[in-house]
Amino acid sequence: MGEIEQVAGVLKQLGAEDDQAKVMAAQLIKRAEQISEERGVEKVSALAELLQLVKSGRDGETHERSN
Amino acid sequence: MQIPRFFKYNAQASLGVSGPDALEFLQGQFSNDLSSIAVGQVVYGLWLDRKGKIVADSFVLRRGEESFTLLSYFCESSAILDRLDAYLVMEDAELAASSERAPAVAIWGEQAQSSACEALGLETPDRGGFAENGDVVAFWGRRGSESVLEVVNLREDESSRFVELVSQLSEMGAVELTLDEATALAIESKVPQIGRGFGDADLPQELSLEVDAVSFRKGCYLGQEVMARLHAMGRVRKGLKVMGIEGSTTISEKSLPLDLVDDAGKRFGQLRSVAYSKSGGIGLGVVSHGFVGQRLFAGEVEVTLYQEKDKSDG
Repeated sequence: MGEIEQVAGVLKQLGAEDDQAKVMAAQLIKRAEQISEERGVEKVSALAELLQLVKSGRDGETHERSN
Repeated sequence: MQIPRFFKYNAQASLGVSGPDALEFLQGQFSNDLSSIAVGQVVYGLWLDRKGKIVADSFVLRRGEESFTLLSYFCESSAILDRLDAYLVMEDAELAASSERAPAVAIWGEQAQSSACEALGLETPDRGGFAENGDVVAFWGRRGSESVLEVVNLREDESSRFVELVSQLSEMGAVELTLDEATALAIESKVPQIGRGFGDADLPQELSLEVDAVSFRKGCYLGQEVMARLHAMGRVRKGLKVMGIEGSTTISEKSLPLDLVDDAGKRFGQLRSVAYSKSGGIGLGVVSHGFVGQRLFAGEVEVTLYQEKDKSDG
C-alpha cells in the first residue's frame, strides 16, 4: 500500500469520503515534506502531528501546532 | 496643495505566499475580505490570534492568480510567518519569508508621487490597486490622513534607479522626513503603528481598526468569533487617545510603553508612541473609556489628552 493510500485510509476512518481523502492525503504529505525540510524533523513525525491536528479539528478541539 | 515630502524606510516584513490554495488559505487567516481581490489589487488587514488579539498587520498584494506578497511597515517577517505557518495544515500553499528588509520610500504630495511613478516606469496606482514594474511595487499606504504612496523595492537591495528616485525627490524640493516626523503624522491622525508600540495583544476595536481592517461580512477566519461578538455586543473598554506631552522632559521610545496614571496613581492606560517637533511632544496611547479627565502622568511626565474637538480643530 502506498503512502497516499495509507494516509487516505486514516482520513477515511476520520470520516472523509474516498475521493476527498486521497486529495487531503496528498496535501498533508506535501505539507509534511515542507515542515520536515523547514525544521529538520522527520517527515513521519511532521505527518503524525498534522494528522493529530486533523483529528483535533474533527473533534472540535482547538489545539495549535507548536512552531 | 500638499507639501512634497518623502520618508525612506525598510519594510520590516516581506513574505510571499503561493500555490493553488494560497487565496483560500489567506482568506481563512486574514481579518479583511480577500474573496474578491483581483490580480493587481491590495488589501490592508490584520493577522489575529484566536482570541481576536492582533499578532501583526499586512498589506496583501495579489501579484498573480496564485501568488501574493505580504508587506508590513513595522511587523517582523518572522511574526507573520510563524502565525501563518502554525495554521497551514492541508492547503496547497507555500510560505517564503525574506530575511532582508525591503527598501522603500513613502511619498506625500501629488506631484512628487506622479514623478516617482514616472521615474520608475510605474502607472500611478488606483485606490485599492498597486502598480508593478519588475521588483518595484507602488500602492497607497496608511500613515495618516494625507494620501501617501508607498514605493517598495522587493529585491531587497537598493537598485540604482531606487537610489536615483530619492535624489530626484530631493532635487524637486521634496523634504525628507525623519522617523519622528513620520510618526508624528501617524499620531496626529490616530493611526497606530502596528508592530511599533501597537498590536501585540491589542484588539482591533481598541485601535479603531475595525472600520477598514476588519470585515464583518466575510466567512470564518482566525479571531472572527471574537470580532463578531464585539461587533454585535457593543464597544470595547478602551480606545486610542492623542495627547500632548508637557514639559521639557523627553520620553524616549525605548521607555515605551509607559503606564498612564492619574493624580492618585490609578492606572488608566498606556502611552505607546511619542514624537517630538519644535512645537513640543505628542503621543498616542490606549486609554480606558472610564477616564473622564484630561490630565494623566506617564512616569514623571504630565500628558494632556486631546478632546475629539481639539483634533478637528487641528
